Amino acid sequence: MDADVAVVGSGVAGALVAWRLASAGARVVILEAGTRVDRATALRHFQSSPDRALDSPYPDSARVGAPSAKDLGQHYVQEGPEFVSGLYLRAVGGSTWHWLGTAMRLHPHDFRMRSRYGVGVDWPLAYQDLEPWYLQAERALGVAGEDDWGSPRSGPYPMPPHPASGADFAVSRAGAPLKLLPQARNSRVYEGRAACCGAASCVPICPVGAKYDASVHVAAALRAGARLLEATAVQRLEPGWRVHWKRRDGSSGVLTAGRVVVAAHAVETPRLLLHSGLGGPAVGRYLMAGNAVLSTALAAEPVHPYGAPQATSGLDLRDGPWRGERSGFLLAVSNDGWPDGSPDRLAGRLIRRGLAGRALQEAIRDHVLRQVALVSTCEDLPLAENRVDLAPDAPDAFGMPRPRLRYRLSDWTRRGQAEAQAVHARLLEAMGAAEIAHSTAADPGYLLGTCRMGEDPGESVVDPDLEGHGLRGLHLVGSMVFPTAGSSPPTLTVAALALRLAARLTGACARRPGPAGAAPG
Amino acid sequence: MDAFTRRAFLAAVAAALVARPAEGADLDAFLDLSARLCEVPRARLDRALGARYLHALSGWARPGEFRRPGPALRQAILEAWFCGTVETPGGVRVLERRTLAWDAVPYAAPPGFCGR
Repeated sequence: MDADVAVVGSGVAGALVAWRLASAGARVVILEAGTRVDRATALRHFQSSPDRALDSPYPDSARVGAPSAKDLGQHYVQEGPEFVSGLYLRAVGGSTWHWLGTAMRLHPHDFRMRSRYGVGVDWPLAYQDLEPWYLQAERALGVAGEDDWGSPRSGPYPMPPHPASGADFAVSRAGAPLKLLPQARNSRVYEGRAACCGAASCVPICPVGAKYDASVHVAAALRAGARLLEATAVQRLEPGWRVHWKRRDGSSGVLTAGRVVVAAHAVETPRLLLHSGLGGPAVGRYLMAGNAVLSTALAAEPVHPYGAPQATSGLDLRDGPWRGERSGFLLAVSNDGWPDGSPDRLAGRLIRRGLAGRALQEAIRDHVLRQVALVSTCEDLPLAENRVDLAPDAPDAFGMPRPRLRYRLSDWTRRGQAEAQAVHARLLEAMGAAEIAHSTAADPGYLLGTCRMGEDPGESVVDPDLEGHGLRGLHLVGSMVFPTAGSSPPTLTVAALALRLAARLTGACARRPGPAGAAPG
Repeated sequence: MDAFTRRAFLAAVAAALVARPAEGADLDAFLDLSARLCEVPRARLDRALGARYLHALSGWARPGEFRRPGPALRQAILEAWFCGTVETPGGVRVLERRTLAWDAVPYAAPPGFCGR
């Protein structure tokens, strides 16, 4: 046996599981299709990139079989009716490199959607079951916050909150009861990582590592004795467990392990199971997306964007009695102006319209200082026909069939999006804003479902302990196991589920005490 | 820019990219012109950055045109100083991110930077 546990994927879920198990003495091998990210190199790539896309800082997506912001069609095969992109990063540390950092718990009612509102399904566990793991996850990632957002807490946040921004104050004055968002972003030096400098430079990369990314716990896992096989794409799993991997140089191999933890995103995980011929009829189904509504406007007075992390406050419209009829949503105030309105991009447009000199400088200042943007992420419904499967004649860089997506947005979510747009409009009008425009974001912030947890093997893939139905020793963890989506960003829940899984596996896998220095930092 | 002008421009830029670096007199004239177009004190314009812009922009200008720039050259110079970008045959080149456009929002830093 090469390892007690093989962990497939090194994002937040895989990194936390590997760290906890290696610290408990288990022999852990992490297999990651991408490579390590050097922050300084990534920053140079980003700063010299004309388009400054979500994946601009990182190694070429096509080379590692991942979707590219420049050309989503080269990765996904879209069967419609709706287009769904879902960018994710194949790299050591995963998509936490380019996440926003908002670290919210799900609302307790999110776990009871069927019994409380008659839509979706109930989770096979309750908020109270996950609460201790949420607290551990907040300490592991380093979360700054103050309000519980309707999710009762058994302990404080590890860091005080980030202060509200100029845009937050402006939207509050318009009548929105905003609350400070909990963020996995240091409001002070934490576990050896720097404090945030408040420069609105969180996505796609934090310049100083104040925003949590999972390379923190990959490093901690390696210090605790785990091994990392990077640029190593897992192609197939064979019960036993034998992990078949391949590299771009053509080399391949098999790693044997007592258990396998697949923590490889809501697209890669079902893709791997389907390619391995594993799992029941629910594998790949119930795909859900975080569908966003974006509204931009020019405020009557300066709101001073670019002076705080990209989102610091939000309006909690995730839960209410209307939730049987339409989705809830989380409204966040953006602190980085309009998506295409940065001073340099705006300057280019103004110059082409003939402005120069002081008139140009003043036009930039006047416009940028008044840019306001509201983003609401609406809950999605788990529909069986929304799914990921394999495109038979379309191999990726490793020769594995590319993912094929079928996705339809439910009327329930569309009604939630319409309500989000109406709320945006009311707030912006109350601010006396001009040039109000609405759109639905082309790139959902996250994907979920596809290997959900449940008691029924016909409708779920893993049991409440995240072990595959009929697949002893195969565990899945990540947003793919969510039975419903909620409208909180999923990362903190993913982290809590990962820590809970690691605790369940520790007794089964631990053989020797972990070496010193296993803590992150 | 119409197609003919664009082709001519890109050919000239291609030639300029293998031409000599900017010399002192050319650079001083370019910085004087830039300060006038941008309406900023000449001392605010970084000389080394100016040399890079001048080198990248050389294909835009006929001999002597930096003294009497046409509309396309004026726009290209403004885009260099405010956007940090210059169009070349290989596409848009980013030469600098901390540009005069960001100076208009003096407390802010461009994406990818902490502090100014």
